[in-house]
Parts: sequence; structure tokens; C-alpha cells
Amino acid sequence: MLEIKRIIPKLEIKNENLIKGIQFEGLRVVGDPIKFAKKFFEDGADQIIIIDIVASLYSRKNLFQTLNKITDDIFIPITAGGGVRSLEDIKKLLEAGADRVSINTFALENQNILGNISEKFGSQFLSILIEVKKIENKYYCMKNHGRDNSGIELEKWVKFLKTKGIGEIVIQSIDDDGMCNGLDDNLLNIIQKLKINKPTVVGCGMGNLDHCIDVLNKDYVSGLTISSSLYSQDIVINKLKSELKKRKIPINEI
Amino acid sequence: MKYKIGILNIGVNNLKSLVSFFKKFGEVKIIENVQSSNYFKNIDILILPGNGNFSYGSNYLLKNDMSDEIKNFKNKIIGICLGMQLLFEKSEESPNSRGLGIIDGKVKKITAKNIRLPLLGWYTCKDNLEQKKNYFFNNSYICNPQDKSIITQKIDTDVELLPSCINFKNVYGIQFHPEKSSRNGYNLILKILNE
Repeated sequence: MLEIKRIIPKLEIKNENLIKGIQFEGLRVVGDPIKFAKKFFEDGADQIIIIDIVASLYSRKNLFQTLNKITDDIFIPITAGGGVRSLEDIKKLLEAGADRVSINTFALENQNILGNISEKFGSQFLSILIEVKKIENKYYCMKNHGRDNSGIELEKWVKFLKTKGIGEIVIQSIDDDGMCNGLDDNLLNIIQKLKINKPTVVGCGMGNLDHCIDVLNKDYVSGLTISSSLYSQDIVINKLKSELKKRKIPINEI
Repeated sequence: MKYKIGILNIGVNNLKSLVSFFKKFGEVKIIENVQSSNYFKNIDILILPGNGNFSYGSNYLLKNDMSDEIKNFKNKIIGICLGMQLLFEKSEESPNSRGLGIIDGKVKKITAKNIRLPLLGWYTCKDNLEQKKNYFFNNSYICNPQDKSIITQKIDTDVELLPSCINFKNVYGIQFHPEKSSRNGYNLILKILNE
């Protein structure tokens, strides 16, 4: 059965703004996240990921408001996250319109919570976000939007997650973020070797159509997140999809 | 025509998206419980939503004593995802829980080895006229009705029978999320409402 490859704009928000950094730092304001989300929906996005990068520091009010507005007019799956710390946070994100909740730090720090969450909400509901950084030739899972090292290596974390009831794994490469030079091949090789038995989304570093095609051509990749290059229109979703189609990579024509 | 659409709030679901979506078809009312039998009055279409574990949905129906009201509802009922599964009596996801039992058969885990679970993402479905369309799925279990003739659409694969839509009398079941399937989801609901 063909798994259709997903093109997923990843929107990072800070307060009411869509922002973008380079390697998770030096954040600049891009614009209104709702306008961008609508545009990407119209351009044929298959899903949208929205992460409030300061929610863990302040409050999640802005994320709720943004989510609420986005789900008024956008009828594709929305994954929301940023600073999720409790079952209550998850419930609130769902109520605000998220279809799936993205969890990073909370999962790394409370590994036994994963069972509880899937029991309550169904296993497919959880999206585990992994933000990796290469340190001395090893890939570590970072916490708090790249600020702190969990000390847990990617391989170890993924092997643990494979035994848990979770919906999908989203792996982001901090070193490639905003660089537009493509995604680290070495990281992709590691992901391939991990033989992840769940939908696997990867991202960071997409600067042109070829970068995207290279990644989506890999059978273990279910979806690709893109940020900066969508804002700058160096990558346009419709165009990317027609290139993928030419290469017989299964995409969703909507 | 503008429909009066009632959406059952069974506690664990993406209610907000459903409400926004069904507003495109008419007036939406969220039904919190059916303690008062007036709740289902004046409703053209009852939506049984769901996102989550079979036991949660089942417990909710039980706790709120909803089953009979739903079974007796004469207008269209549309079960979506878990809501479709709750139309059946039993699910392998939670063997001790009971669904509504409106449709004979059971909900089973998807078993084909080469299908990666959960089904999460867009899959191609084929209706009885061999027309193919993509819809957004998010599930690991699938409905297996005893009477295969009620299957109106299935996932386009040969490895296992994976019904994506069923229709039995006034009852419709949709395994994927029409509210998340962009234009395809909208067109499907429009078709059901016009039937």
C-alpha cells in the first residue's frame, strides 16, 4: 500500500509572530502565522506543524489563539506543540483545534508518561519531536528548543520510542536549521539504520527542490518539514509536488 | 439547504476542527449529554466523532446513557474515525468495552505485515465505481462489517480489506477524517448529505 509522502510546513511562533532562526538561534520575525498557514493550505500542504518556541517559558495563550484561528479555515491536520508539560496541556491543545500534539522535552524528562498519554488519547495521537544536534560526532536529543542537551543519544531514544505507543516521530536537525544546504546525509543514514516502524518525518536545511526530492525519495521517510524556504518562496509546495509526481514519488494531489 | 448538525462531544476528540468544518454545511450544535431527550430533536445529521481509545468512547456512551438515543435516531448518523468504530459492538483495542452494536461485525487491529501502523497520513481510497481519492487517516484499527455489501469505499490495497466508508440504512461510517482531508473530505460529506 502506497504511503503518500507528506509536505509539512513547520511554523515556529513566538508570541503572536511567525519567526525563523538559524540553527534555532538569531530569531527574526517573518510575519503573521495565520496568513502563512492559509497560504500553505491553499498551495497544497498535507499537514501543518506549529510549535510555540517560548510556550515553556511564558504561557501558551498565543498558541491557543493562533490554533483557534487556523482551524477556522484550514482543513488539513494540524500538529501543535511547544512546552507541553502535562495531560492537561494536551487536552487544551486538542480543544483549541490540534489533531496531534508534539512533545519533546516532556517526553525526554518523563519517559513513563508516554503510556499514560496513549491510553487516554489513543496511540496515534502523539507526535514525538526530536531535535538533534551533532556534538563530538554523536547526535544528541536536545531539550527546550535546542537550549539544553538531554545527554540522550538519538539511537538510544528512538530504540526506546519504537517500543512505545506513539503516532509518529519527527526528527529535526538543529545544525541544518535555516542553512538551506540540505539535510545531513549522515543523520539520514542513521535514521535508515534505525528501521523505525512508525511514520517518520524529517526536516531542516531544505533550500531548493532537489534537497526535498532527495529526502522524499527515501522509502523510510514519510514526510518532510520545510520552513524558511517556504517563507522566501524558494520552495513552492505545488511546484515541489509536480516535480515529485514526475519522479513517481507518491504525493497527494488536493 | 442548510442542515442542522449535532456533534456529540464524547470527551476525547478534536471538536474544534469538526465544528469549523461542519459549519460549512449548516448550523452546528454541540451535544454534551442526552440527559434530556430534547437533545436530538430538530437535528438532521448526528455526528459521532472520535479520536482516541475505543474504551474511552465506549465508557462515555455508557456513562451518559446515550446508546439507546443514538440507536433510535431516525435521521442520518455519521460516525467518524473512532465514531465509526463505536457503531460496532466490539473492538480488539479494548475487548471488555461495548460499542453501540448498530452494525454487525467487529473492529480489529490491522494485521498485514507490510502496513506501517498507525495509519497516519494520506492514503488512496477506491469507491465501488473504482474512483480513487486521497483522504487523511489516523488509526490502527479498522472496522470489519459482517455484511461486506455495506462497504462503500476501501483503502486501495490488495494485502488486506480495509474499509474506509460504510453505509447501512441511515448510518454512515467514515474511517478517515473528512474534516482534515481538504476538498476531498468536503465533497464526500456534501455527497452524503445530499443522498
